[in-house]
Amino acid sequence: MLRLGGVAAHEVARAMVRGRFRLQIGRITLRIDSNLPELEPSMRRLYAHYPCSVTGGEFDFDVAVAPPSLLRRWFRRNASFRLSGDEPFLPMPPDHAHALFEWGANWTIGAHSHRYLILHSAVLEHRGRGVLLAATSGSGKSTLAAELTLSGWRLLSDELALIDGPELFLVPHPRPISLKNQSIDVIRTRYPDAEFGPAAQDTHKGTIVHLRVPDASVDRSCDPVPPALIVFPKWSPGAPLRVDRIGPGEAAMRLIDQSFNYPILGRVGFERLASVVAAAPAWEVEYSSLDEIVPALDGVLVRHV
Amino acid sequence: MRVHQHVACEFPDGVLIHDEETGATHLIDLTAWQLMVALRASQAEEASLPAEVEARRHEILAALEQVNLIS
Repeated sequence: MLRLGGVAAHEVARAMVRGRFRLQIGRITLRIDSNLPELEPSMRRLYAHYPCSVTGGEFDFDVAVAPPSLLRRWFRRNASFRLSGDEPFLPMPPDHAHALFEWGANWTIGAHSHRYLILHSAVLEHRGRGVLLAATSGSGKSTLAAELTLSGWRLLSDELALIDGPELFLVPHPRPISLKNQSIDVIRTRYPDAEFGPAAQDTHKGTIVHLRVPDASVDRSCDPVPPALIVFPKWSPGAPLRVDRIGPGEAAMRLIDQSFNYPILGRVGFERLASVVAAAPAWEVEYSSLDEIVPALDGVLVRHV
Repeated sequence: MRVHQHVACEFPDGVLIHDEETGATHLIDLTAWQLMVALRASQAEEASLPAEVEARRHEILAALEQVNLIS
């Protein structure tokens, strides 16, 4: 199996220009076109362990990160994300190319992969059990996902919980973890050997850096896991650790608020969601220290799942 | 459980009920049994209700109205 890190940089760049580059992320294969010199190095660094092709082949989605016009390739340069030729977002500076790719890929899958119930949630596996970290932006979800991943938990996804049915599995889609602002230094300090992509400064979310997924998680990116625990994390500076059980009905209502496609799926979405909250007890966790929350979540898994 | 265009699932903290016509989902603080009793009562004014449901009659009927189970 060809992995991206084993392909010469010029071959990857040429395949991206010629429409022959494919990247396999779990069950989903992307065709990625680009003539931006900024994208290939970050892709090779962050996706080095992922299966790829530089000779074409089948794909699920046709995406591109490229200048919006020929002129913009040289003058007042910028980059657009495209899905099958459509540009759903405004162009960004070329040094935001990788962040743009990650946002575009999230949108592509969240808005189109309707065989899954898709929640805005990190997904990890620990002790053979699937854990959903469902939270709104700014709650520290990605920082916690990074901490757990670098502590040895398996990352299935940082942003998208893909819930398949009817057997009810969390389908892995492990892509680099998006860290913002102060979280970047927190994780860099705690894990000096962790690998990061380029910093995108002054985005609408501040500074964004992506953390490379450990190879062990990539190796298991076709192994789904049943949901066993739902966590609603909330980072509050200075707050003492608080771990409270919440009811399955309340958990379902909160997950609906975090869903990309629940209204589209109708009854199927309702039944799948009801099955998830029936199978996985839900907890609300408020914390200020990563050192406290990791053993606390492990304890919940051991005692209550 | 299925009532009209609704599908529902009972949990310890209430009945999760989904309206297939509007796509809306609500959590009602009732057991499935209380919900069915209240529904029957809403269709017959004179129906006698168990005390625990009668005590919450107005609250329960308001909840059912909110999810379009009664009007």
